[in-house]
Amino acid sequence: MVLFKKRKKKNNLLKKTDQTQVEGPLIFSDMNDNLTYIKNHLNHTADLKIQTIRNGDFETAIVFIETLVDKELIQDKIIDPLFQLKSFKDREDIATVINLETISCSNLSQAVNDLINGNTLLFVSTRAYAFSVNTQKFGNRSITEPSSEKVVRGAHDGFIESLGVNIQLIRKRILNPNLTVKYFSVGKETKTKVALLYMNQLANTYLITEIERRIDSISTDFIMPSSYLEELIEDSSFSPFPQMLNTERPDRTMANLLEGRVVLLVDNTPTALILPVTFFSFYQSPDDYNSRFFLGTFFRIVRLLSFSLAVGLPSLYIAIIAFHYEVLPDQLILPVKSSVENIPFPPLLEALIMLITIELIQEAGIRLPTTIGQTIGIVGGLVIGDAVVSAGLISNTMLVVVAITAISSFVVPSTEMSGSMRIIRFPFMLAAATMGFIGIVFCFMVILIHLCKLESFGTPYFAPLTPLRITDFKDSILRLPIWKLNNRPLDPHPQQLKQQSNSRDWGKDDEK
Amino acid sequence: MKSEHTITQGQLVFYIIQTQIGIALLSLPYTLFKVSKQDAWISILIAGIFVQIFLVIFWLLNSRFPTLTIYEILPKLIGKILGKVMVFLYAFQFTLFSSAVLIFYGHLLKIWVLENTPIFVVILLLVFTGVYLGKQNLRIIARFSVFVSFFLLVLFVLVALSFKDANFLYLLPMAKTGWFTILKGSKEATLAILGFDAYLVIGPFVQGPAKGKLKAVTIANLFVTLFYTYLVVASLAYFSPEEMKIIPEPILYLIKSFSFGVVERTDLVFISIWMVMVTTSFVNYLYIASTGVATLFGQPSHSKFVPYVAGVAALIALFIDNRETIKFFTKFVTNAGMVLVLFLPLILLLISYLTRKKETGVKNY
Repeated sequence: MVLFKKRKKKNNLLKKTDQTQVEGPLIFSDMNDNLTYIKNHLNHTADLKIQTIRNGDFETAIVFIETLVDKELIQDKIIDPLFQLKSFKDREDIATVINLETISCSNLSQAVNDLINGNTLLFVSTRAYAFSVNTQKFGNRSITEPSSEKVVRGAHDGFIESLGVNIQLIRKRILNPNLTVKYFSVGKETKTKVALLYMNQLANTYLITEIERRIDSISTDFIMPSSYLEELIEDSSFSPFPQMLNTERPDRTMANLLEGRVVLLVDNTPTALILPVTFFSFYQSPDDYNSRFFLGTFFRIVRLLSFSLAVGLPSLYIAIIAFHYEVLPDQLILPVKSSVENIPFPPLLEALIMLITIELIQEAGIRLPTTIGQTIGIVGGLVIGDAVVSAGLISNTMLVVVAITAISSFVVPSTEMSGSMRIIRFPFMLAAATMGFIGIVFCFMVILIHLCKLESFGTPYFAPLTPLRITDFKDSILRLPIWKLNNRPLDPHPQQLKQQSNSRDWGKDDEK
Repeated sequence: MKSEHTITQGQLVFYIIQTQIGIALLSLPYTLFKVSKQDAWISILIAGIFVQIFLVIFWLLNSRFPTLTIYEILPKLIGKILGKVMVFLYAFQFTLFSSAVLIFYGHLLKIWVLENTPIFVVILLLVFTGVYLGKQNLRIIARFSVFVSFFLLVLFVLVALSFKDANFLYLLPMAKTGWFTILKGSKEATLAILGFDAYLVIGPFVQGPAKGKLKAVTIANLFVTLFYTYLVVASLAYFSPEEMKIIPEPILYLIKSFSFGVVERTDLVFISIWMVMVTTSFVNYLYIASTGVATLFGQPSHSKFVPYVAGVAALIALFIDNRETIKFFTKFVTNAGMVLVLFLPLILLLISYLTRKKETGVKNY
């Protein structure tokens, strides 16, 4: 079976190389024919610039798209040297004067492709070939800390929109020849560059071929952000849980690469996709490793607690108020009863109103500039919070419950997971309102069954809980001291499990 | 061929524990007390010993046919037509077990939690959840069983709290009811301990050497027997014999009697956790039954048949709705279980030894 798959893969590769040799007319020996062809092919776009230079015994035409190139570079490195060149005999003459990455090409379609990529074409009169000089220049955002994934301590750099810079940020951290990059071009119209990064001899080979297979089968006009790619290659799209980790942090990416996971980077997107991941990967943050291990473990447990609060608290409250108020102890019954008594709505409606209000505030707040954002804060916090209670619409206790729920759903250091929690909450609430505790238990079981079933690229999603691997608790649910983590987590099935041997040998030496 | 469905020996332990521990958990001390009075706990220990004997028989049978389920063994040993009939009976028996789970669960919820909700609603909820899990392959069901076993710990701790008010004098005089009565009491525990028969079907899917499998089922049996004994002792020591006579769910009454600062009705928490155990029992039986039906139809995958089996189980559960029919049904299931699950494998084993039929060409690890 495996052999068969491999052969299939090879066939695919062969086909691919065939495709890259673009068919199309060869370059004409008449320069003007070439120029008209290019103009027509680019639909006489206004930013196409053609400059002809007559110098000595030959004429050259410089063709480039001005919005893509570094014009100073062209002036200094192409035009000026050309003027100094007195005679032209063969290709070598040009190559020696231009100190830039230059290739000569003989195919017009290829030349046009290069042109769109920001290269400058150089035609010489009566010669049936062209030079393609790399003069790309793209404006890059500076490297800043991603605003959605801030850490207190640790590195403060983040990915930006340029693929090259992003790969550089990772390579800078892993000075190892085993770090392998594979490029794909995805999107029939956009030809977006996608990079697959993995540690050779560490990442599971089956995993890599499987990802390559899935990427190769993508047939779409364009992929815009990386989430397009995510949806096209993930296992189950109908699951509320994200099956790939989105991160803008190079340090997080690096750590995952060294656990044997695979990273996908898409050009023009500042997020890296990490796969395969487990549920607990979403609850880890570089902060855990930057602080002492007691704290790191404590943070992780607090985050996991936040999951159960964000999902379960409103439904628990609804179930208690609507069905099982006898669960409450005597001292608590009075305050709860007095606050609930005069509310016109059933608890489910009350909770829905408040939670949807919070979703509204959040959606409104995301896209507003910070100056107006304050207004939202005041309207949301003061008016809705306080006034809604004094108007007698919502009970005090419900407000407390909703507030804790809202805060809990933002504790998780991943926006996708936070979104899933916000969605899962609603079926729980409905179940609690119809069946009380029994409904909650059934909802819980269905989610749990789903988590048991879910797989991310052949890795059980809820590992190390199902299947149970106690040894993997060390760096998933807990965060033990670094020197205890001798083995990598098993879930990405790395080729080498051992990650370190005893790093604290000096302890033994001291005893002697 | 079966690689997708194999489970580890650790998973086997929890699969069997979760199949056994289920509906009968809450009423076990009461059912036993009715017969063997203060010696109920000895009855359950003896039941455990019997289970161990049967497990060894199952294991011997499995060792002779390492890759075959009971459904595949039957036609080989007793002929094709009779074998098919027996396969059907087995599958039907397991379906009856799952309807028993549904019936007891539905009625308990009606009494304790949802007085006004029609019983078919709660039953259908469990059936839907069960079908969702039952359709998955064995490995996922086993994973689920392993995970929810953590909740047994909560039950253990909750019951442990009762020991501060326990009066162990209620357990005395020891063994006074007579050994015959104690043995009769053991028979009452059948419904509670049934579930180890799952090994007949999932035994061939377990990885590893045959000895390890025996070890795994022994651990499961030891755990379940001790857990039940613990529950029985706890309720015997907590309630006086007079009280025991009138409370059909002693464990719940016991839990209900103490409260914490934040939770007043602890029994609701207990029931919520118990429901998870019930679901696993239901699903595990569902899986076993639909595997049987799949074998009957010569299909490799059980998934297709899960909804039908669950539907039949639900229909039976919905028709048996009054006290008399439930009593009759319980008796029927217990006795049928005794014959089919306990004694037939013994006969099969004997036939296999006498006719020297065994699976050949398969490496017995």
